[in-house]
Amino acid sequence: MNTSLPLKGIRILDFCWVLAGPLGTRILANYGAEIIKIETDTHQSSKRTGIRPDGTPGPNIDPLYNNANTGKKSFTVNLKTKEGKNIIKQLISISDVTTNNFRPSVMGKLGFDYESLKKINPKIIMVNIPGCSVKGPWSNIRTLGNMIMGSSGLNSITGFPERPPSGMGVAYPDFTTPYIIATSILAALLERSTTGKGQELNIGQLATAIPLLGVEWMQFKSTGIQPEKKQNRDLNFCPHGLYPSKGKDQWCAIAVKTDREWKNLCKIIDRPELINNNKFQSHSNRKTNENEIDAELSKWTININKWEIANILQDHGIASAAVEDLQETLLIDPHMQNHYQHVVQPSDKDLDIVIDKDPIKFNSKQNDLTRSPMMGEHNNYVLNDLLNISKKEIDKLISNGIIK
Amino acid sequence: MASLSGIKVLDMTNESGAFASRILADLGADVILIEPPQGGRIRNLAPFLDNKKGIERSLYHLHHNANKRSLILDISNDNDLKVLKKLASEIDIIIETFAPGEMAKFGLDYNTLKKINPKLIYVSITPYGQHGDWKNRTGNDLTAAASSGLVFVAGQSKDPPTQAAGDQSYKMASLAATSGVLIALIGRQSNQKNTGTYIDISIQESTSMAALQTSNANHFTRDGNIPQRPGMTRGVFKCADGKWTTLNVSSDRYKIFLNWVKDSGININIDYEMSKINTEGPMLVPKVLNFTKTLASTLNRTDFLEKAWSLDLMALPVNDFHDLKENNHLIETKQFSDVWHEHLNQTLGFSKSIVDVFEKKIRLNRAPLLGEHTNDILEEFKIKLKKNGNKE
Repeated sequence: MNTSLPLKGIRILDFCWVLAGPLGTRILANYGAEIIKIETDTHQSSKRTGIRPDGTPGPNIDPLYNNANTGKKSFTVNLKTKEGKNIIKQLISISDVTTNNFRPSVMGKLGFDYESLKKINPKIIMVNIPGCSVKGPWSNIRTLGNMIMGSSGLNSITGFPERPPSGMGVAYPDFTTPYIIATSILAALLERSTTGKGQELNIGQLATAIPLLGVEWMQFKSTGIQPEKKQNRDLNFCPHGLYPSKGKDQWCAIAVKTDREWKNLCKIIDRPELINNNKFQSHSNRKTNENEIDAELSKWTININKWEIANILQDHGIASAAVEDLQETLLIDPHMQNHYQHVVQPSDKDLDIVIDKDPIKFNSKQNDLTRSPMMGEHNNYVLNDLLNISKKEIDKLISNGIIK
Repeated sequence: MASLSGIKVLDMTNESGAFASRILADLGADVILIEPPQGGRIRNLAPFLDNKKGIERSLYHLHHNANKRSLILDISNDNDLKVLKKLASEIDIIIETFAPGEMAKFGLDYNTLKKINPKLIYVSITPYGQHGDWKNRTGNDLTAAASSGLVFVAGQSKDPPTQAAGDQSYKMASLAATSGVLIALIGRQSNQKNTGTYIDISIQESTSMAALQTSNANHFTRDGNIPQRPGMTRGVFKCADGKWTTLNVSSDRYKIFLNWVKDSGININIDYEMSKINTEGPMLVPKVLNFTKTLASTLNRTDFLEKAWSLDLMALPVNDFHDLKENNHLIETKQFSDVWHEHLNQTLGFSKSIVDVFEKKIRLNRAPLLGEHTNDILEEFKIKLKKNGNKE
């Protein structure tokens, strides 16, 4: 297959804004789908609100905007006008998919609910990505990724006891939902190739965050007891955790599974006498005395550089890795050096923007990405190339404020 | 019909990739779990149902292997290996989590198999990918969270970095793998020769995508900042009944929020506070966090949320598992269901499939017993079982 552009020929009319939605269609754009991003002045994404060093607006410079919209086209149209709506309808008739992450009522108010769209194009796949769900008591609540994470149960079992629930420091569902969006759009396209019919997909971001804790839910349903906070530990490993290493706020991950690994670890940390100590002789004994093990192990790790710890333990087949901060991931980690790409926006030629490539590597090769579009960059392509609207008519649309 | 009906998958994953093949199974693919005679590694992972060990009792297995079928094949046995290669010559997808180079020792690597099955889509999920200095390193969910930069920003500033519950590095890798498979299926369909491809998934790199906002590279390249804990955490607030909630006030709702503050008896000058709004939003104004803290502390969570929603503010409860169970929204939207397991003689609690987003609802079938489908599958592939146990 054509591994650089396997999705060539698929067209998506994308109303998504902010983060989770655009990151989803980004995956499809990076592998060849044509994503037409619908943007309006009155309904501007928060990721279009960058400010240049001189204080002027920089709609094309936000780092997240640039990450979330690679390979897409931008079309700015006033959706409140009849002419603007007509243009959208024409685009629907030549698209395979349309995506939005508005509140459930918004597309209907614009006249773009599924019932209306499928009359224009019965093969259209409409993808709604609301915060909670399309129906149900919470359907109309506006949300952010960190709120969804808290509501999914994740915060209640992450971290250390006696602390406020704090989650994992990122708006996590904003980075899992995109894959659900990409996967389910492609699944619906495969289905359509057999049935010939489109359908409406409802991807509730809360509904797709909760299944990330499927094992924990099953455990809770079976015991009726709230699972304990994780504390960096794991039932299947001991020792298991992030251990302090040499320097300020430096940590190293260590995970020991088997008796053989444990014996090796005792020798490496120069404590061979622990091997024959009954308290540590089986996984379950080690779990019982985990605090003691952590204290002993920390005495060894605290004096050694975190990269060195990982090297030593990996040489003996024990899972270990340095906890990396951003600078280290960016500049030092040998496996992340191909992950980043530098792009420049024609509107801001002096500004170097770093974007993340996709981790889905066909034939182990990582595609270079195409920079995200400038606001309205493809208006002419959409109107003239796709819809055959004449230059004269386009000028009229512009002067009437339909196209920005 | 389901989206992937007719697609056959050989599942040779351990715990790092089982979520990927589970999603393919949910989408309707026929996922055949290849297990050694003593059962796959996942079956030995804690926690166990009722805390009793047993190859059918691992919750990790019961959750991740739902909707799949189990086939016992011992790849160290030449005869079984031959059977596996026959299967591999006919199916659509192989998904595996062996260390780089391991599958090649058995002649089960992509380059060998594509010669007998050009349409094959082959996915490998490993800690650091198939190439580079660390490709042979061993790892688990935690080491991936460490190497990806994700864990460094997670947790409270005075605590060590904090690993998320639920093996989220494995989830990130599995989600990327699944999207990769679907892209390849479409790509295969649209090329005339119907050829498949190889997909290389690094758990480290997949996990790094979850840090894309908090630890965005431009924070360092543009501003020289190295993001620290507690990351992007916005406020969580403790209500009068001891339950926790989130609240977020966007700029366009700021005045409405301030009116709520004033009505609750806190003496503020709304015009003055409006003039002090931070360009990045009200929640970055320390005073706003304090206002919210006070509001929350005077109301039970239900009342706090009702009030916030009546003002169209963004708010959701921080749920524990009891909250999830009793939540009306989740009950009405059928988030959870129970699946009967006749051999364990009890029901198992499932969350609905993560890809249950289609017009047709996704069914959940209990995970297979070890070798439950061996005979059926061998028959389907026209392989005979000899009296001595050999298959041919």
